Amino acid sequence: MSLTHLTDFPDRLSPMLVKELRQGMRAKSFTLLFLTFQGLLAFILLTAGAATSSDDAGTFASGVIFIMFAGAALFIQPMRGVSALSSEISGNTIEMMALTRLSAWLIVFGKWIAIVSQTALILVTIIPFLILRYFFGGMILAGEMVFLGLMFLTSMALTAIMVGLSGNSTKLVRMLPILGFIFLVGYVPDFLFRDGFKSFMTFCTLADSESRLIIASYGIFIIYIGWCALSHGTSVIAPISENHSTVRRLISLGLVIVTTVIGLCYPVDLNVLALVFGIILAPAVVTALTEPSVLLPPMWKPFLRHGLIGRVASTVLLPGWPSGVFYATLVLSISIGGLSLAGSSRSSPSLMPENSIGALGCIGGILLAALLAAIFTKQESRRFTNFMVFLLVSILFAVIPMILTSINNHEKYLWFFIWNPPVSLFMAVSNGFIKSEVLAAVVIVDAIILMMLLVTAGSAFRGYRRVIEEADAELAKPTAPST
Amino acid sequence: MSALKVHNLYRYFGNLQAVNGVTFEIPHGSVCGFVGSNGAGKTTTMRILATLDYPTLGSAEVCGINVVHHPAEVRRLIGWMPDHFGNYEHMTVLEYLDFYARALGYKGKERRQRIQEVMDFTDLVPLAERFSNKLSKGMTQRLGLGRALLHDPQVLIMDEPAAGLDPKARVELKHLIRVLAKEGKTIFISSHILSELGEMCDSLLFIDKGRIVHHGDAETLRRGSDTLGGVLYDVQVDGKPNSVSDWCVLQPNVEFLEARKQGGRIRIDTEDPTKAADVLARMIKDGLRITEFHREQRNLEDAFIDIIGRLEAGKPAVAPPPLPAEELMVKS
Repeated sequence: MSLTHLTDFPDRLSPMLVKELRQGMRAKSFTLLFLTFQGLLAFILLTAGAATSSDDAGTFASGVIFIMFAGAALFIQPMRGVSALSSEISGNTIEMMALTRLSAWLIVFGKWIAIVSQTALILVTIIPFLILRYFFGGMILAGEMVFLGLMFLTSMALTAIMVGLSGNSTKLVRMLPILGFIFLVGYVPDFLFRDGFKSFMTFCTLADSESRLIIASYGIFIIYIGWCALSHGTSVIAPISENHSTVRRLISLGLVIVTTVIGLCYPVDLNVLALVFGIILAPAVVTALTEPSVLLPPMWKPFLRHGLIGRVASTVLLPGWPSGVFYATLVLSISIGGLSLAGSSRSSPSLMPENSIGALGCIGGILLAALLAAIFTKQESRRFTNFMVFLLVSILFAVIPMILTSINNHEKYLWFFIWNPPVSLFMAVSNGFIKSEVLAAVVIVDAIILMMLLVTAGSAFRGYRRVIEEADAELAKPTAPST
Repeated sequence: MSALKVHNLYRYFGNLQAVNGVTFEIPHGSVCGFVGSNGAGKTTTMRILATLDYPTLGSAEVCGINVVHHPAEVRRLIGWMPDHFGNYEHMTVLEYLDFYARALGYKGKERRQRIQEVMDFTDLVPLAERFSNKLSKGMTQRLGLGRALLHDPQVLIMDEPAAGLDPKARVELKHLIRVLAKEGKTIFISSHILSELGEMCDSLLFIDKGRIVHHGDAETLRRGSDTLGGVLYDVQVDGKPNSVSDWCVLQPNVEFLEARKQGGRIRIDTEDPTKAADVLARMIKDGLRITEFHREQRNLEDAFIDIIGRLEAGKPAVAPPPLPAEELMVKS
């Protein structure tokens, strides 16, 4: 037997990446995509080049390349991550990996980077076609390169979302990002190219500071979302004794504080500031509110070592949804406080009432789903799934009354559904409501839901007492036995 | 220090009590069989020991290290073989072991050497280039064992490794376990096939409804009493075979069960060996020409059923006293 081919990948590469590449490069889903992609591109570009008039040939060639790459990078490749973790969980292999030196993060990261590497391979192979396209003329080289880079970056984030959610036991949750894909296909191209393809390519050349700022912000946003998704997947597969949530919460808390400081020090449009808060908070709060409430001594011990500060910090940083509720309350308070302070301290454009109602409606929707999940979840591993189901149901309970009342022209009846915060999103955009009344109502509803959630979380938090005592006793021992 | 030590272990899943105050110790270098019906709490106990689950109450230690407080240290000491595990698509046996060897931190030459040793031991060399998801059940179990042995663990925890294996694969697995036991590894193995466990194990641990109902060696169990505390003896005589049954009619505490060629099976309603000696003395005194008088050994399945039967009848579960840890260590 020859073991020489085991040197095909160097030792410094992550074992998970080596495994995934070995498997992935042999998978039909990749080889077929790769070969079909090459064949189709060559065929279409050559025939199009011959058939189209020289003026349009360049734009047409770019269109073909971008559409095909978008299909591969933004749909097919991310979709390959849909069962990345669930297949390991169902095959009972995730536990065997957990017993090695691989951390849950390395497992998830390896899965993600393997798919991203293959997407990069596809990206590299379209370079010859781009050279071909260059001969047709009219190419905005920098813009088209940046655009390809943005698509690749988006593909990385979408793959991260698919891989991150793939650890959930319910297919419905794993398939949720498809709704995002539908949005991408239906809305984004129309938005990007509303002034024409060339105009957007010119924007992508990063010639002015505004385009640079927008694209840099987009890059940061997409990296943050991707990291949040991978971090969520890590928590799902990690052994119960591993704590991945404290770091995640600290990073999001740090971002919220930095954003608040920027909002207070610079004349940022409050609507943009609210959007940034929304982007930071949505994944952080959802994850914090849906973590399993299992506490083991190894999770508590690091807080214990920091004395009183550690004990106080544990209220918001311990893993599990009960502390997640306190954490969510803290970051939401900082954000809302920051927005209010920024609004009162200068004469910059204030937050539009529609946006305020929309933001509070979204927050309320998340809190309501979390409250229902807290009350009705019996199996800790299903908490996130239950949350998503309750969130979808609450959105449905907002959409149906909205449709019914608008058909009958009785929009006022929406007031009967104001207990369901997503309803306020429709009330915010409708002309039939006084915005200040809707705003007051949604504030009251959000406050009631938050209070109920805090009471539920406080009760669950008290259940940690035994574990805390056990960790106290263990820490009182001189040292851990060495192996 | 014991290789495995479990003290007052409880595990609840909602209202379900999967493990109910389990306490046992397994000394270093011994092979312990873990027996119980489906849902008795075997897998949950084993998963807690393998750091894959956590106890609601109580403690579990591997080589003196608490599995809840120091899971990473415990993982270095144990090899875990679950009852079922999937293999990867598009990955050969060699690549499968290479992945786990890399994941365990082996590098370069050492990694290849370790893989070679494990493949030689588990006889996986002829299968090296075969895709791991195309193996038979027996081959898959050997691959699983190879994976569990890659880091040369001190303790091997095997959950139903023989389930679904054909007789040949079962014999091969048994052989591998014997070799590992000779190398001094502590093996904690669960199975439904009691006769095989009896051959392999130094001690047997019976669990029922989340509670340990017996811990002792197979020999003690075979010699143990039945559900009602009686013991069976085979008696052979020189002369009329029915003399044994005739004699038993007049004896209190002795019951004739079944005639045999030169005597029959009798049941003495106590486990006390001095009473058996008294019965034998009376037989001889009453003129029976005894040629053979020996205690019958039960098979382990009967012993298990008896113990469960005792429990259901509300009697003490543990008939034979458990062997002390020191004695088990000497035996192994």
